[in-house]
Amino acid sequence: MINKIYRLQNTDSLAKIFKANKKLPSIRMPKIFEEHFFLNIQNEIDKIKFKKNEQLMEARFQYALLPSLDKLLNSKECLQLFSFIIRKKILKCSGKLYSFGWKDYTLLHDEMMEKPGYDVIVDLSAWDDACGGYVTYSDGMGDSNKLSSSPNTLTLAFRGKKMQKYIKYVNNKAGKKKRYLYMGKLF
Amino acid sequence: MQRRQYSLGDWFSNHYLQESTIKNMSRQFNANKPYPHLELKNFFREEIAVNALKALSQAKFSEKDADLFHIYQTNDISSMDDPFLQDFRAFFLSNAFLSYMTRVTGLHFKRNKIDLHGAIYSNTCYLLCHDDQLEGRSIAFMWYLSNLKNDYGGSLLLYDKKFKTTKKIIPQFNSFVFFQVSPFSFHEVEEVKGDVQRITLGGWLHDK
Repeated sequence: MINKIYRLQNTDSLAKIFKANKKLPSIRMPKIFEEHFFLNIQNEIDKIKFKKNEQLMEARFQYALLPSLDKLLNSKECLQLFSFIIRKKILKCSGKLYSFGWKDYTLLHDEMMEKPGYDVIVDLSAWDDACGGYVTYSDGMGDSNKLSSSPNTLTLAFRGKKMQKYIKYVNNKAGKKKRYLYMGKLF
Repeated sequence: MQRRQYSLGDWFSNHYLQESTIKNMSRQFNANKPYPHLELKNFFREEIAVNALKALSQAKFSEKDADLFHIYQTNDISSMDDPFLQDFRAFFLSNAFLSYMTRVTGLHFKRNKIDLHGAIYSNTCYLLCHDDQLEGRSIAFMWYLSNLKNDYGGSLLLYDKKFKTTKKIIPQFNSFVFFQVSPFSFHEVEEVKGDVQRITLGGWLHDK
């Protein structure tokens, strides 16, 4: 279900891309899933019941489990691909599906820093970045890296010591549209 | 160098110079929930407010974008050349103004330090909930220089310790709003919606 282009590609070139950005080692992999699988996931999301998380000083969003994507990302094929790209043995991917609509956001917090680690982000919906809702990596010193939206794209990123990520506030241009992101970590 | 003497009457509307009004403001400031604050409508003389708006219309605003906010802001007024804005800043640092604020709030302020800047919130601009706490900040203030209807957002929301909105202040031209900064002064500026601008001159007075 991973797109053939990634199955056939020389993983050395993907690993080079991943390492190239010194501040945020990362790679974006567009068209990561075969089209029928991606459509099935989108249909699955339409039927999911989300839970709310609303803590004014921290975040506001909805979340749910997405077993079919969990299963795929934990398949031998995927874990092997991740291991080749980041040059480290990956045993597990653990994550959730997040829904961001108007007025949703996450904030950075000095007291709630994520430990350094490998992030997996899968963009699961068409989205206009003018509505906010994009993932931003920030080192807290003014340097930031904004991930533009791109449906059916998987991002792998290594979050170093000071690097943290947040989801930009979703503004009124979003109307009733929702942005769906799978966000997880590699272990 | 001698500091210029400022007279409150040159700046404030007459109503706010009356002894009974000042006493009432002082009572109200401390009684207001969720934490001490005041909203003073038509606080400055009208020509002063018009001059402030004119001065800001010539100022350079830079976009500020982070997780917590998206706004357009000037540099601190201290670094700007506009004579009116410089005079306004000097007035805010004057004995006349700071003594007046001490009478109203019961707080004492540094005589040589103030943060002051212009801010514009246009469509999609916002400031999420935070407490404003930074070393030395005593009073946060904002002087509204535009009118916004409720539907357009841009209101200042004050939250209690349980993060329930207990006060909503809708921007009205020439309203002066201030609150005491504390670990519990949770507040936010609602996102602005539509083709309008929320224009303010705002900043912080500092602890003595």
